Amino acid sequence: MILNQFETALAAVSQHLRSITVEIANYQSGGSGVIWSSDGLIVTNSHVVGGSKVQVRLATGDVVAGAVVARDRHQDLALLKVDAKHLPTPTIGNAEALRPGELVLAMGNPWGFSGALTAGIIHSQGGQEGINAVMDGVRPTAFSQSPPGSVVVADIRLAPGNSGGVLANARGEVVGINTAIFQGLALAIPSQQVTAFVRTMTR
Amino acid sequence: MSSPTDSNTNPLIAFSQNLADIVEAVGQSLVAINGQRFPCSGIYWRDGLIVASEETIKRTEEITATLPNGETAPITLLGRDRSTDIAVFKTEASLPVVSIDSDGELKAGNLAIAVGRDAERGLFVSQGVVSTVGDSWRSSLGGYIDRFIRLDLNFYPGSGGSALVNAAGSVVGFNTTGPRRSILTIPAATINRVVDQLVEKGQINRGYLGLAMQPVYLPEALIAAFTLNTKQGLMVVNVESQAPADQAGIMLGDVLLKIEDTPIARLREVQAYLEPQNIGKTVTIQLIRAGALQNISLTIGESGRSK
Repeated sequence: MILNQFETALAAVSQHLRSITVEIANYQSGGSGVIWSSDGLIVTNSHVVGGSKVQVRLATGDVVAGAVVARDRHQDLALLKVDAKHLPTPTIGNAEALRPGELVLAMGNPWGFSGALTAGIIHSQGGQEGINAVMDGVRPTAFSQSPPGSVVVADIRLAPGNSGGVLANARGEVVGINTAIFQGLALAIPSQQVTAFVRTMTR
Repeated sequence: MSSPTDSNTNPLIAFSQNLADIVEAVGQSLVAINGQRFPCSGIYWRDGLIVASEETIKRTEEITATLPNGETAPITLLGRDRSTDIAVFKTEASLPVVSIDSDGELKAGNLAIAVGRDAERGLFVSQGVVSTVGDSWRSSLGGYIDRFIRLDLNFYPGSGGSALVNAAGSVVGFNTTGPRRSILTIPAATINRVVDQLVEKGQINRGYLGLAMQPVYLPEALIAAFTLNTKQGLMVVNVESQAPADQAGIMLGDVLLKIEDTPIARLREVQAYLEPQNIGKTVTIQLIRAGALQNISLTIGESGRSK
């Protein structure tokens, strides 16, 4: 049965995504983060972390202290460091290759529910003109700090608390960091922009 | 990651690629219709013909469509039918005619893929499921819609006229908004029929009476006196001067009970009788006037005609 196989594969990807997702506690609505390196680098949205110190809950349930090592409010990205070793790490996908209709999965802590998976699809090409059209007239909310540059636009249900969490493709590869909701559409910072940010900040 | 990533064996990847392929293929036949209050999509339905949702079309003078290759082409309105929400445009532009499935077995639970085109964002898509498939129904304006199709998916602003695509990649209709924020699909069979009529005549004329009516409950005494098998009728609240009903002698205050043998307790039952093929037909209308039962013969007129 195809649905059965689909479900099994979905559960496998979900489990992997849950292992690389962290919950960031010291924020009103809670937030999410993605483990970027096995030695404790974590990527999240800048708007998720208020101060310079945060409490990070790993998928294992361990709560570890984290420090904000870099932040870019304009890109709405922040890099955290926690004191941990041998953490599971993600495979980074190519957000530029995404096509409308492709399956995407989001893992995070919407409304504070830990490790919640939602599924959807890529809605449209998020080119530069696309952003202008999509972001026009966006009202700032707790969950919307408009990312500059291109953006991944997905037809997927997100909620406050998904911020900073992973958006993955059908292979379970990270293609974006969920950042904002606009007219019900999910906007994510594309993976290549996140990679560039981490590279710049750890150089 | 550790799970298999082979597209041949992993159903998630197969699903993802299949869906993206379908969207890309259908997208070759979708255009964005410009110059409207809200962005909307059109489907290249036949050679030189674009179908759109009538309710999204506010302007018809000097409008253009944005084609899949990004170019814009002028389009001209060929005809529109509010009762079925269908508008048809003519274009010189040549696109692949969309693959249409007008008699497929759509079922609740089938995948619903809504694909449209926006002039700036390009192709866009949302996905959900078909939540209801029912029998034919009539719109509030009396239009005959071959099947009731309601979707469960996110209908973002500008999605009017987007194609509903099935898992086989064929277009089964276009999407529009219904009452109470419901998302409905006008099925391909209805579109085909209306396109035929609009191509032939430019408009669809329905039967016309020239009456405004209000449903009323009949007094028990009258029901008993005439041994009626209906409890409701339609009271005439306005008669248009020189219209077919006026010419037949129908008067303000008459309570209409039947057209031929069909009881008419609700306005939609009258609407249903005003199908194009009944134009010019002479029918007997049973009514109550001044407490007496009476039959009046009436010739159904044509809407859109000067009276």
